[in-house]
Amino acid sequence: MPRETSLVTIIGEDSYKKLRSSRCLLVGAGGIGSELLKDIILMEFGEIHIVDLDTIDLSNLNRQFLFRQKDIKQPKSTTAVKAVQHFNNSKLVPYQGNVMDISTFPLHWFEQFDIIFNALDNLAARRYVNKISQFLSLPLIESGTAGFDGYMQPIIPGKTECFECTKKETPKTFPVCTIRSTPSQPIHCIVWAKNFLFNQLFASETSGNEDDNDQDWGTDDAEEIKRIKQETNELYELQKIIISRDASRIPEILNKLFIQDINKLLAIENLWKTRTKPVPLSDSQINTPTKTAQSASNSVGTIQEQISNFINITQKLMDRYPKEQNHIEFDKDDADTLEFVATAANIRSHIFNIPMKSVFDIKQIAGNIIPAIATTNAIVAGASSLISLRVLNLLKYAPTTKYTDLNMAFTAKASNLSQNRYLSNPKLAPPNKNCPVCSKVCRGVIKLSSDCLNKMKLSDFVVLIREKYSYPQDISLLDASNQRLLFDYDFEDLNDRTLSEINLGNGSIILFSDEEGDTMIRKAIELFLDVDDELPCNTCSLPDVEVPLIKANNSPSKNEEEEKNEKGADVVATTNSHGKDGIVILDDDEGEITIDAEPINGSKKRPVDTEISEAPSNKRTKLVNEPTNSDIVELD
Amino acid sequence: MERYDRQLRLWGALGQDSLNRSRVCVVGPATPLLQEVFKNLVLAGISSLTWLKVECAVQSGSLFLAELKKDLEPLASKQLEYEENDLRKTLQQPQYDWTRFSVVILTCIGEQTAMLDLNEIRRQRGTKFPPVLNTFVSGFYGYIYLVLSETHFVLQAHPDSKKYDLRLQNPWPELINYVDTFDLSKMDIATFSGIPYTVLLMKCIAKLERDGNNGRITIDQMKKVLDQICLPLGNDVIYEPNYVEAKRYAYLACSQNDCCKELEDLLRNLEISDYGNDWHDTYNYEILTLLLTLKNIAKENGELSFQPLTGTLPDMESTTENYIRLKKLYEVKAKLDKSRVEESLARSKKKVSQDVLETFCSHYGEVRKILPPKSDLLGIFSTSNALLDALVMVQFWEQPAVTAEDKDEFIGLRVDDNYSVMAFFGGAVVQEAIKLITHHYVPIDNLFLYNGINNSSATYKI
Ligand SMILES: [Zn+2]
Repeated sequence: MPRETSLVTIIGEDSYKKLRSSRCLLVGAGGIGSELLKDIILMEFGEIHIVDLDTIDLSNLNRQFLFRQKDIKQPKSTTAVKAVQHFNNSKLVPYQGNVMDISTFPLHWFEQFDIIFNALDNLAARRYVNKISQFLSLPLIESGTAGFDGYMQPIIPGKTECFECTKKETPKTFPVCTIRSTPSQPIHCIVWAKNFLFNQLFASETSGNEDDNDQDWGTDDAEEIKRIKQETNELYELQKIIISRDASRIPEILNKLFIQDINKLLAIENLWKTRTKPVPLSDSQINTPTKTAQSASNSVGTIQEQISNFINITQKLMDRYPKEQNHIEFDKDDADTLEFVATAANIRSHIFNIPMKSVFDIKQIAGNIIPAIATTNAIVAGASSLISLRVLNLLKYAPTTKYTDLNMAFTAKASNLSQNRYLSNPKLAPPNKNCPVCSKVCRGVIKLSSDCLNKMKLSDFVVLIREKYSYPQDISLLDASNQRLLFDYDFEDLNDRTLSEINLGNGSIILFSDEEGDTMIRKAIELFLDVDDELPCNTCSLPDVEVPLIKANNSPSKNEEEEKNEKGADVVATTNSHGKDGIVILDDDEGEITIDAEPINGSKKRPVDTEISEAPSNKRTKLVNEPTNSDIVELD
Repeated sequence: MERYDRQLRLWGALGQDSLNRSRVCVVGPATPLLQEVFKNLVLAGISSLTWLKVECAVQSGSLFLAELKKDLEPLASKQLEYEENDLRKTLQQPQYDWTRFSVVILTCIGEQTAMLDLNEIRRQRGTKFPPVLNTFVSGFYGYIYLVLSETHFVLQAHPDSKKYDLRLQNPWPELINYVDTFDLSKMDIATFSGIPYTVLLMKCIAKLERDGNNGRITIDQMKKVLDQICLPLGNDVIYEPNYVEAKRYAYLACSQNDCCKELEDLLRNLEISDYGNDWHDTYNYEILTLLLTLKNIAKENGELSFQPLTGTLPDMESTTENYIRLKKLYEVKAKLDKSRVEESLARSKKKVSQDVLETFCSHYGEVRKILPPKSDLLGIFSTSNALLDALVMVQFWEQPAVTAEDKDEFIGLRVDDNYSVMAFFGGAVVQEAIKLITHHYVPIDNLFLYNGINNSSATYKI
């Protein structure tokens, strides 16, 4: 459907043409993602590809305008695309999948895009996409929100700071399906226990007397209505147990939550292809009474103790429930509600093979979860889509001469009057010279055909790289994804193996370093192996990257500090990529007086960096040597 | 499972309840800004939406308003009431009920007469008129202007750094007794390490007072006295976590308690007699009533001020027993203070809802007020701000869709509407509406300007 457009008048014919022929990737179709999708469609990008792993959950509906009741449990990416059809003038391509899944989204797949928008809810994926953007020199617009706080940061590889250049108080939120179906960290279970279970049992309105026929289901699909009804009814059943004040029925709650529901999840086989399967509680665990274990708030206790504590605390809350007008609010300072959330979270953790936490830890975590809200998402998405015009240099009257002239944006919580600003807009900084992701090493992509992977010997591979970038004889080669030493002057055991035999494959990142230079050394290079079956046989094409000589670590140098960090870089890179999953833990209402407090989720980046960089370089080799050998033994 | 569960943490059950009962009036032509405002309001969970339409000659491309309204329709009989009226006709109805709205949002009003008429209606209704958020966007720029008719009270400002109400400088008798149960001169380090740091700080303050120090205490003084009273137990005392905490929080003893001045500030410039019972917003009335009650209680007791103890104690290093005893003291005192407020309210025959009373008593320090501006809706016409001036020119007097000119003082001001900037403003103006409706967070006071070319912004008072 042709629509009249005003964008031509804003950006001019040439730029408009350019925009219509650009392809962008939107990672995430959640809160910010659905806002962004609408904004960039209306900005008329030629082609928009959307990747999201999640399906839609009821609690999304108040922040994500593209989704309706009938869409619950549908993939976000495809539903979002369907929902925008009526105002869409771009080619939309949805994918349900994990952007970090290299087999679905190999590196060369990313190459088709002109720009990437991150609308992600976890740190690991943010870091991953940042890395991809660095390898491919693709501009990335990074964004996030938590409550009234939000930020937007354009990242232009080589020109401006990358996502990892500075430690930021990054607002992060949690993916809902992780909470409801596939928790992998204690926080996921805590959020489930607090925001979902507790509220359902003690803080929600009883809705049993509603007339079904009068209900707006938002869908005519009888199956769907049945399923939603069933879900609602089951939860209502649990609440009825609370209302009954019949403590002997508490095991029914345990049975529903920790056996039946887990079995239902287990039946969805797709979920467990790459994850450890949860193990439901057994009937005997639920029905075997143990003596009340009043464990201290800073210890964890056994699963059996957690179960009996759950039964006791549920009974206590049951008794409180009618006295408090059938509504108990979670409050981390209300010991009973905290205990309930802690035990429920721990039982769930146990089931999903996640370490249990002490009540004290859970209090810290549960008190600090900040939800995302629609308005902040709208503000940040607006700013993100807007800046893309300048990143792609489509505004003739505001040309982008230097990328460091662009601005990022942080929204300030309460339009703080004393500071007289609503959002701050620092100019983009140049890359941080010590950033392990964008600056410490050179970077490039090796294009390989899979037959080459199976045939090429490591020794030949080393020679190829050495010659291409003029490295000296003495070099080291690491598998950077797990710090596995593959080759150096006194470790040549793997020389006759092929690349696939030493477990290198699509998505592997290797680090090639000069170990010889005295005063001047060749800068290290990080190479991404992009295996592409479309390539002709025997392809192994190395990227044209200029790898400069730099001052060596042991040479007397003014920039000693800088050089020192240089050595630690490779190690730090992995430390980071193993980072914790992103959850909002901002020091909000405990936020107190502590100006010097470490953020709970504070990055340990710096200490690790210093510690390791101070070690002499041969010690580093040793450090990685041992796990390497054992790894290799298994291969035989 | 509630749709709005997640929002509760930001503005509490009371705030969400206000949102769920709120009625918002949006005035303006069908523009992308209007549809963004609609969407954000509906997502926030308001109960009624009224659109006062302005017919617009220039139709903007990026509209999915028709679909959006279709989505709203099924909600109409249930959670959401929705109605549409013509603005011009509405302005001519002298009996039109404007007071039912929680907030009025003006989006891209291009006619000066509409602005004049609305301003006149507003003037005639006195304080009984909802807050008006006037917003306009052109090209890469825009403004939001808040015009209050009555003083707006923020129940909880949620400042970035929250202070605990510890009463270190003016402890009540039970707290003094508690502090006195710890005799540092007769104690080993093990026992010492179980004392909450607030007790140590109060001992320091008491010692400074005994030593004749009456003025403002400095951090250095506190740290010195802390060592004087702790080091006799042994030099290792400096490794005890409660000692470390005491040192870190020593500054808490130094901030003067200015609650009396704060209360006076809050009550200043309120022409209360003018308002009578004519408050548009019940919460504003209730918060003012509570502030006046505090003043009364102080007067009745011949004190300078009365401030209810909030009753929350931060986590700290201590034995569980010591901590629980201390926590109880704070809770009991807080309950007592709250009942004094309740009694005083009853005596003066005033009613305040229980929820507001509770939040007020436990977050007294977060109450803020915003006075109505000296100017009115027409304040935007007489300004010395160059950007606002330029925007107002475009809004009321220039033809839209002039192409960009390099010489322009504001590059990209006179270009066509840009959806992203509209989306930004749709978010920002509803954010302000939420703050006004929930009485949580401090709204813009009173003009916000934005430049989308470089994301800069500023807040002014006009
Ligand atoms: Zn970087």
